[in-house]
Order: sequence, then C-alpha cells, then structure tokens
Amino acid sequence: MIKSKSIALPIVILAVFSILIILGAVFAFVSLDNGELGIWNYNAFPTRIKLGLDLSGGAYAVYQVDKENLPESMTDGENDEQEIEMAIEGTRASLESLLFNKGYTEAQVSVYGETIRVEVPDIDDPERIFELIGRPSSLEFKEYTDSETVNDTLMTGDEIAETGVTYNSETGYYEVALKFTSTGSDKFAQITSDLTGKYLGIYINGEYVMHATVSEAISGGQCSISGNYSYDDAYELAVQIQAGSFPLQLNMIESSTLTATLGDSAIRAGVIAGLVGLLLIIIYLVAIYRLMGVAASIALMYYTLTYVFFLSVFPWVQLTLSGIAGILLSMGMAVDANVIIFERVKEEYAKGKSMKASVSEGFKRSLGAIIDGNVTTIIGAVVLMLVGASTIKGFGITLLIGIVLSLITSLLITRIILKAIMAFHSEKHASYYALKRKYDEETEDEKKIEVSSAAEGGATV
Amino acid sequence: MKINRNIPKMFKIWFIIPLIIIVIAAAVFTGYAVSYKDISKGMNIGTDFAGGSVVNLVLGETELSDSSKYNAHLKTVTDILQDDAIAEQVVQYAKDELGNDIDVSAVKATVSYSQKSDSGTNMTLVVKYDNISKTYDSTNELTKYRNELIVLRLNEIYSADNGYSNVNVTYSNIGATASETLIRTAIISLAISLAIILVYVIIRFELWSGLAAIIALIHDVAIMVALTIAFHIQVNSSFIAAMITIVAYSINNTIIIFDRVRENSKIEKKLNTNAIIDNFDIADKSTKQSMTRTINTTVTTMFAIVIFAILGASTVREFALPVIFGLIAGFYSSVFISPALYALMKNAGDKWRRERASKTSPTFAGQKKKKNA
Repeated sequence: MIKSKSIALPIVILAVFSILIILGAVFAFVSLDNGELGIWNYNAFPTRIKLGLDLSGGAYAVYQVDKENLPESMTDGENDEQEIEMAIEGTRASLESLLFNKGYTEAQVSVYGETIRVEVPDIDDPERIFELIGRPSSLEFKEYTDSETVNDTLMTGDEIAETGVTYNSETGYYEVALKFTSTGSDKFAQITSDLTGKYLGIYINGEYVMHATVSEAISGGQCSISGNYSYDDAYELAVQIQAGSFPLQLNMIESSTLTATLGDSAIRAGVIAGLVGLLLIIIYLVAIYRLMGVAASIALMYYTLTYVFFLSVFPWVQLTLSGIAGILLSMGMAVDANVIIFERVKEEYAKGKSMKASVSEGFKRSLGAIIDGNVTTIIGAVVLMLVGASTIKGFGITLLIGIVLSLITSLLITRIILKAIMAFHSEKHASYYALKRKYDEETEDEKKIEVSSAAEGGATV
Repeated sequence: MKINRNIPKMFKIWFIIPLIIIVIAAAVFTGYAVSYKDISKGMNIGTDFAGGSVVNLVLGETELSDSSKYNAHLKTVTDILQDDAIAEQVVQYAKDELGNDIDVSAVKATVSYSQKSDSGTNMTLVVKYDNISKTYDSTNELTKYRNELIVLRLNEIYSADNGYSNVNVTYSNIGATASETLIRTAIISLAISLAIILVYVIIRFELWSGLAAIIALIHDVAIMVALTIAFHIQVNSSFIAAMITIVAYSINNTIIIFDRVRENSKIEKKLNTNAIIDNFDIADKSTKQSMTRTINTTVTTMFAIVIFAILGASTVREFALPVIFGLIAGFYSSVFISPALYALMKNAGDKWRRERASKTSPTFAGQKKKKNA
C-alpha cells in the first residue's frame, strides 16, 4: 500500500531535480542580449568554453634565436652547435612552462631549426604575451648600501623557475612573486644568510628597483618584488623576468592570428553528435532497464550539463578536437557505472530479494568494481597531466573532470532518483524496473555461500 | 544470451584473430611502401608528424577576400608544386650532387593543408606540403633546393610584371622535431600509466590479473594502430590523444570482469575447499556474467562517437575512426583475451605452487591453498 506521507518526499525530490534540469538546460542553450540593459546580458555557458587553436583559430608567433647575443660558452668554438641546440631546447621548455603558468594551457611551443614557434589558441591580445617574451628583462640581486653605490652582482634571474603576480592587501599594490630553482634556492639562502642585518637590492635591466632589510636567511626559495605595481605592470614584469631567465634571447620575427577552418564544422558535428547520442543512450537505457533506465537518464543529463558547465568555468580547460571526442565518449562511459549497478540489481532480485533490498545490495556490491575501474582511468588522466606535452595535458584535465563528475552523478544522483521513483511502486510492479525472478544454478551456489558465511559469522560471535 | 561453450578455453581462436589483423596491416604497410618505393609512406603520416614545408604568400588586402579567389591562388601554388620541370631539375640535382637516382614522382610535393591567415591589413595564403622523403634526402638538402625553385617560380608569377605589387613569398621548413617530442612524451606517459595501472591492479587483484590487463591494453593499442594502417587513415598528432583515450577507457571493461573473477574465486574456494580449481571455469563464468554490461557499455559509448565520425569532416574522422577501432579492440580484448590470459597464467601459477608445496611438505594441496588465501 502506498501512503500519502511516504510519497510526499519523493514528489518533492523529483520536482526539484526536474526544475534543476530545466534550469540547467535553459542556461546552457539560451543567451540573452538586451543591448543597453547590460545587466541582462548572458551568454549560454557552453559558448564560454575556451577553444584550442585547432577549433578556435588563435595566434602564433615565430621567434628567431638572437645570435648576436649568445652566451660566451656558445661562441668559444667548443661544441658550439651542440650547446646552442641544448639551449634552444631549454628555451623551448622554459617558454612552455611560462605559457602554462600564465594560463595558456593549450599553448604549443615547437622548434624548427633556430626558430621557435609559439601557438596560443583563443587569445584576445597576442601582443600582450608575445611581445613581452621578445623583450626579456634581466634581474639581478646585489647588496644595497646607498643609492649611489652599485655593488657586485650576487645572483641573476637565471635561477628563477617561475614568476607570478600576487596582491598585497596591506599596501594595496601588486607584487611580482619569484620562485627559484633548487640551486637558486640554495644560492638565495646563502646570500641572505651572508647579508643578514644588511640590505638586499633588486635591479632590473641594471636599474635599481627596491631594497629590503635582510632579517634572516631565506631558505624557502621564494621572494617577491614590491614596487607599487598595478596588475598590468606586475604581469608585464613577471613575464619579462621569466623570459630573461631563458638560456637564449629571442627576437620575434613573425606573428599572426589564424582563422579556424575546421573549427565551426567540427563543433557543429560535435554538438549534433552529442545531442543525438544522448537521445540514443536514453532510449537504449529505458528500453533495457525501464524505470531504472529513466533514473540513469536523468543522472546522465545532469552529468552532461554539469560537465559542460565545469569545462566552461575552469580557466585551464581548452577544448580541442580530441576534447570533443573525449566528451562524447565520456557520456557513454558515464552510464557505465549505472549499467554495472543495474545488472547487479537484476541479479539480486533474481535471487529472491525484495526490490528495495536488491537496489541497495546492487549499489553496494558494484562499488568495488566501479571504484577500481575508475581509479585506473584516473591514474591515466593524472599521468597525462603531469608528464604530457601541453595538448595532452589539457586533455588529461578534461578527462579527469569527466570521471569525477560521472562518479558523483551515477552513484549519488541515480540512487536518489531511483529511490524516489520506487516510492510510487510496490513489489508487484517489479516488471516496470525490468526485474524478474529467475532460478538457475549460479544463484543457487551463491545462496549456499551466503548461508555458510552467515553460519561462520555466527560461530565467531 | 546463453553460450554453452567455455569462451576462454577457445583461446587459440581468440589469439589468432588479432594476429591476422596485424598481418593484414603489415601487408598493407608493405604494399604502400613498395608502391611508393619509400618505407615512410607505408603509413599515412600527416605533415605535423612527418615534417614538411610551408609557403606563405602575403597577398595584400583583397586578393583572398572570397573563396573563388582563394581557390585560384591555391591552384597556382598546387600546380607549381606538381610542376614537371621543377621535379626534373630536382632529380637532376640529386644525380649530380648526391649521386642519387630518384623517381620524378618522389620529389613532387603534395599539399597537406592550406589556410588563409589574416593579420588585419595583409592576407596570407599558407600552404603546407610534404618534404622529400628522408629515404632519399637525409640531410634535407634536396627539399631545400626544391623549395628555392618553388619560391623562385612563385616570385616570377607574382611579380610586378604580372600586375602584383608587394606580394611576398617566403617558405619555411618544418622539422619533425616537434612531433618527435610529442611522440616521446606520449610514449613516456603511456608507459608510466601502464606501469602504475599494473601495480594498482596487482595490489587490488592479483599478479595474473595485472599482467593480463596490461597485455590486453597493449593489444588494444596495437590493433588500433594496425587498423589505422590497414585503412590507410592519416595519422597526425591527434592520433596520440586517441590512443591515450583508449588506454584510459578500455581498462575499465577488463577491470569489471576481473572484479567478477575475484568474487567468483572466493565463492569457488569456499565451495570446493579440497578440489583443484579450474580458472578457465571461473574466467568463463565471470565473462558471461559481465557480458550484458560489457555489450551495453560498448554500445552506449559508440553512439555519439560514431555519429561524430559520420557528420564530421575528414580531420574529425581521422581522430574518431581510430577511437572507434580502439573501442572495438577494447571490447574484444576484455571478453576474449584478458580472461583467457588470466586463466592460462593462473592455472600455470597454481600448478607450480602445488608442485612446490607437495615437494616441501606432504600437506594436502587444498589445505595449503586455503592458508594462502
């Protein structure tokens, strides 16, 4: 018998989930543009996903190694070519990490002979980063005695691994944060310990910028330059200092913006494939698992909406062609956990359990397999993020977000919705859920085991 | 679905099928390599992998404004790339300077990619084309010589005499360096992920499951590459991403089956404490129990990607088709390869352990086993 009290909560749950889906779909597909009424302007969130160079077009720049300003060791006639080659490779790696740290995760840096080509997709003002790279700054640390005297250089910017911009809430200005390489950290610790009680001065391009009292040896490998900077100034300086730490100086010889040739058609194909695929998956699930399939389909819609939403809000995601295919595949994989669970539920029901018991048993017994399966995929994604080149890195991030979301939707949302739907039915409606009693040898075996393990358990108590 | 035969026991058939595919792929590879007289042509490798040359034609503001103009200029470039006179000159050069005898067809360039690049006031036609194969031109000298001839000819055509002003033709060589790095990092990340997955599966399951799962993954990638070669699909940097996608996803199928194996082994040990367990039976039972799920998941995963491949342009298909191959290979290996491998190795392992046990002590095999479990 169904009591009115027992279905009140399920009705609320189903209503809330339906409203959320409709809202999500509205925000995903509808853009508002009311011209002058700026506050009403809203772009559907999928349009805000950053696109890779292959889809969006973007900008590229080609740099030539400045052969006039080579370090001495590369012009002394000993292994010059080899040294230059290594320095170019080092510069390439530095450029790549610089761009990645500045948020251009899909930026690609490639070496062609003595030129280095940088591709940055979906970028508004390529000059901002490209020109700055071509205008490197040299950073020097010297002891500061007074504004007149210039002391010997103790350390240069070559030992800097990373630069960034931080905000100092006390002064209200931005600062350039420096992170040293491991040898740099040691050197900096040594210098600061030598100068304890004295002043350390920072000089950029030979000009004095600031000094600070050294109160103790600084061993953390980090320091920051405060010079009452605005954000833009600090950003510019940060890029230039990092470019100054490159093994070679670069001159920009070419830069251009690209228009997407394949992008539009690929995106359109992706969207259509996604929607039709979603529909087919839903039809398939409902055909096989009936109302359980309905619950999984609702969870799948959640998955798709939240996945696209997260891709649009995470700044380090840039969608490439492989990313689109990854999303399309992930929809099919997202229901995988539900398929595993439903197969278990069917088995449990076939063994003679009640509908409710079968569902909770099904979820419980599938958990191990689902976690093992997904952990292995997460391993793959994380390795890609850590080891891979920039394109692969972005793909790893996309993959990881998808796996985590699909686990949440398929384990949590499906379960909540399934329970809510089941509240409307009693045991005699099992066929609505594609559940049927059956008897065969295997289940009989398992029954025996359960009996024997129950007996064992009883004996030990 | 009821299949009465023991699937893993028929392993001889299951192991032969992938080998046949690989042999076919090798045959196709050889066929193409022989017909082009060039081993690197055995696989259809795109410019961003193989390296190539780029011609940039800076054409001013209006010359590329509509597609008919664009196509006309593109045709001019293509004709020069295929020009017989230039090709013969290059062949002659090769004979005189390098002592190489090359076929004319090997030095003619094919366009792999063209695009309009717009930098505000100047529109540029960018045409990428193949370099002369490394087989004949290890130092790139021939390619350089050919490109100079091409640029010379383009400059003649786009000269002031023909009514063009300020047309600027430049060319650049794309080395395969970038793609070498990409391939290297991809292989490293694949190897690392395989190693960590192996360790994880061994910890969560057992040694034999881990080995079988990794061999199945290697099989998936191998079949994916083999089918890509067999259908002569162009391989470019997105192929790496496709390969990684498959490795990340196809392990799932295998794990789900091994989870059943893990569970069924426990049941079997409890039921038959004394008997020798045939792991083929357990593997077979587990595969069949998971069959519905394996099929359902493969089907749901296929839907969208197949539609994507049908709707998409050639670049999309070059990515989507290998992924589809990989999914099929993943389904095949998780049902037919890894359970069989597991049973083969586990049976051998169990036998070895029994023999060792009976040598060291006369204890009954079954009891010994129970202690280990």
